[in-house]
Amino acid sequence: MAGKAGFALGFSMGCALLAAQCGAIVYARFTPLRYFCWAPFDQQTKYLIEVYIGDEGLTEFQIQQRYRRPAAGVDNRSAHHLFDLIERTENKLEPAGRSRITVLYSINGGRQLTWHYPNP
Amino acid sequence: MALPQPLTQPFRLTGLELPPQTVLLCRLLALTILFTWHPRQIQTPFLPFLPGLDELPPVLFQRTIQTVLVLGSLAILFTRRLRLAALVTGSALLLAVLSSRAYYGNNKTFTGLLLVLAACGDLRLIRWQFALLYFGAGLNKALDPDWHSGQFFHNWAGARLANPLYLWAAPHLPSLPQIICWSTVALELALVPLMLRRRFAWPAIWLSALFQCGLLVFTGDTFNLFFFASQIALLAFVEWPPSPVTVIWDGECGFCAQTKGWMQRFDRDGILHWVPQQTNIGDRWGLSRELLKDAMYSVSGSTIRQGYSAWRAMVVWFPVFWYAALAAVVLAPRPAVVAFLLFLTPLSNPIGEAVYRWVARNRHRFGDQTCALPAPPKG
Repeated sequence: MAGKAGFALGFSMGCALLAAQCGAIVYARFTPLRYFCWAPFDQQTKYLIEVYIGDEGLTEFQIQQRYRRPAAGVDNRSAHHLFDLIERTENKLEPAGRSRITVLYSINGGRQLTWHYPNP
Repeated sequence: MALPQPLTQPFRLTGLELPPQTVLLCRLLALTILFTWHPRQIQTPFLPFLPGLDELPPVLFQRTIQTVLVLGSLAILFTRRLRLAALVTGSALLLAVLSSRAYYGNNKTFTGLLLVLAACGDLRLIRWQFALLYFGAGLNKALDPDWHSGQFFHNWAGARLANPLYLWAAPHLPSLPQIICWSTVALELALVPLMLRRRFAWPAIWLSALFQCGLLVFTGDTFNLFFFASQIALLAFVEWPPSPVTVIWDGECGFCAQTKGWMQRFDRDGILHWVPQQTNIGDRWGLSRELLKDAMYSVSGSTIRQGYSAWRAMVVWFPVFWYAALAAVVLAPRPAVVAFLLFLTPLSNPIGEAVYRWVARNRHRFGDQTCALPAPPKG
C-alpha cells in the first residue's frame, strides 16, 4: 500500500468497517444480543448456572471449562450473551439433547428470573 | 553518548508515513498492549463469530495471535513500517475477538479498530469511530428502562461496587441514580456531534477525557483496555503545531542551558525552536528584557505562555511524557489519573508557578556554568 491509491484504499476499508458497525447498531434493535453495537457495561447480570448432562451434574470447575465463564458471577453485558453462549456450546457438544441447564439470574439487581435449556 | 537509531525511533513522530498524532496514537496503543501484557488474555477459538476459525489448530492459533501482537507492537514502536505494523497488530486483535465469544469485548474491539483505522491513514476515520461508539452506547442506554429509572446505577454503584461515596450520598439524594443515568446518556449522545465537528474538538476532548477519567476514579477500573484506548483515541482530535514552538530562554544561564540540552534530547522532532532572549527576539511579541529575565516564554501561533504554563505546554509535545503517563496509569490507575488531570488543568497552576518562580529565582545556584544574573545579597 503506497501513495494516494494506498490511502484511498485504506479510507474505503475504514468506511466499510464503520458502515458494518452502523449495521450492527441497527440490528441490535431487533435482537436481545448486543454484539458489536457498542453497548459496553450497560447491564449487570448476576447469575448462577446449573448443568446436568443426563443425570450427572457438573461441578463449578467443569462449568467454567465448558462455557469459559464462572458457574456463578456477574456479567457486565446483556444476559442474553450468556444464554447464547450456553445454547451454542450445547448445540455443539450435546447435539443429542442430553443436557439440562438452568440459569438463575437477575438483571441490575431486579427480581430473580430463570432461564432453561432446552427452552420449554 | 548518542543512542542507536532504532532505539530513538519511539521518540520520533514526524517524517513517517502517517501524521504525528496517528504515530503517537499507534505507539501508545502498542505500549498499552505490552504494558498490560494483553497477549496473555488471548484464548483458543471458542464459538467464533467467523465460522471455521474453531476448525484451526487451537493452540497454534492462540500462539500465533499472541506472537503477532507482541512483534507487531514492537514493530510499531521501533520500525518505520508503521502502517503495516498497525494494520497487522489491529487485525490480529480483531481476529482474536472474532474467534471467541468468551474473549469478545468492546474494549478489545475498539483497540483493534483504532489500530486498523490508524493504518488507513485518515484521522477522520478515528473521529467517526469514536463518535459511533458514543452513539451506540448512548442509544442503547437511552432505550433501556433500567437507565430511565436509575436502577442500573443504583445496583452497580451500591450493590456491586459498594462505593462509599455513593452509599453515603444516596440516602440524601433519592434521585441521584436517575440523575447520573440520564446525565450519562445525555453526555454520550452530546459527544457525537461534538466529535463530528472539527471546531468542537477541544470541548469533545475535555468532555470525553473527564468522563472516562471520572469513571476510572469512581470505579478504580480501567475496564481492561478501554480506558487507555478511549484516552489515546483523543489524539485524533488534536491539531499538531504546523510550525515549531518558539522557546525564549536565558542564553547566559548555565542551568537554563542544561535544561535546554536535556529537553532537546527528547525533542526528536525538533518541535521546539530555542532562541536566547539576548537576541532581542522578544521584541517581536512585545516582550521586554525585564519580562524575559523573570521567566521562560513559549510562542505557538498567536499563543504566548510564560513560566510554568510554557514549560507544561512544551513537555506535552514529547512522546516520552505520554509514555511515562501511560506506564503510571498501568501501575497505579487512580493516583496517576488524578495527578495527570491536575497537571494538565489550571488546577496545578498555583503550585506549578510557585515552584517555577523559586527555580527561576535560584537558577544561578544550579548548573555548572556561571549565571548572568547577579547572586542575591548575602546575610
